[in-house]
Amino acid sequence: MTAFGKVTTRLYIWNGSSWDAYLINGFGNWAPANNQFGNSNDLPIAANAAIFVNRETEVSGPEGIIAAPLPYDLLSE
Amino acid sequence: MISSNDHLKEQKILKNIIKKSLAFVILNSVTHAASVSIGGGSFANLLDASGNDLPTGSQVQLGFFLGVATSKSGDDYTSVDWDSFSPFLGVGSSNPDEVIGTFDAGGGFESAFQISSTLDTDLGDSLPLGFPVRLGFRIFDTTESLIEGAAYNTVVRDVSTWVFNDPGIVTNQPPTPSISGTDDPAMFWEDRANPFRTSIAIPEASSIITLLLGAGLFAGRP
Repeated sequence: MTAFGKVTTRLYIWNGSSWDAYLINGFGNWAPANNQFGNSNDLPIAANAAIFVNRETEVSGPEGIIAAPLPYDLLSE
Repeated sequence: MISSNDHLKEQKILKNIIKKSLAFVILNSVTHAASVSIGGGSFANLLDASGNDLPTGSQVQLGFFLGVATSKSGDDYTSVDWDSFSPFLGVGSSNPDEVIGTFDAGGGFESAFQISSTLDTDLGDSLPLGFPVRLGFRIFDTTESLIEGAAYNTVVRDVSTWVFNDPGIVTNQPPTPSISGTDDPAMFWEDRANPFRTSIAIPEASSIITLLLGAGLFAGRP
């Protein structure tokens, strides 16, 4: 993974059955969300992998997040 | 004038409404069959009431705030909102085997923690009864598995990664509740005067009895 983003960025990579989440940890490295003291800077992302890049957004008040479902099914052919 | 037929019709309509309402309530409270991996934690040290690092193994829970709108700012949480905290990870939670504890990660993080849990309702794990919910951490000043009576503090952040959406919908990414530092305007603590400190003490039973006795004596005065 290249070093882009900041601590509010989340990267989700579809592993075929669920999303693997990554964040930028306090050391400035990409790390799995479930091992946030780790280092995934050199993790290769397979070609054609489904990914989401999210940035934390405020959820309170008028700035609250608006959730919109995708117009297609990720699991369909 | 209302005929007996009309009365019967009204009763049927009322019954149908009640049935549909009950079905709606039941459907809303059913846990969806789903598997979800949750990661996150704290990149900041957690402290006891005096400001010392919590010892390794201090207990942490991840939970949600039952009945509190996800759009409500932690800045506006009332004591009722904080009391609605319903843990689903950590000791004393609905998944008590998913223990979360502080540890020394080095590099200045001597009392941090991280979570790494995969919950699968097909394997008997429990999830919140409805979605979406706002997540929070409750941190205890104890390494014991019995957390009752231990001093604690609770934290929420007003951000999307702390909102747990229905994992039964594949396009909902799992939550990643994480504290990335101490300076965060979107972070709110139950005891806001003492962020990161387990400063909320539970009064001992003997203290409560003394207080009640005192109040009783005071009330009995002429």
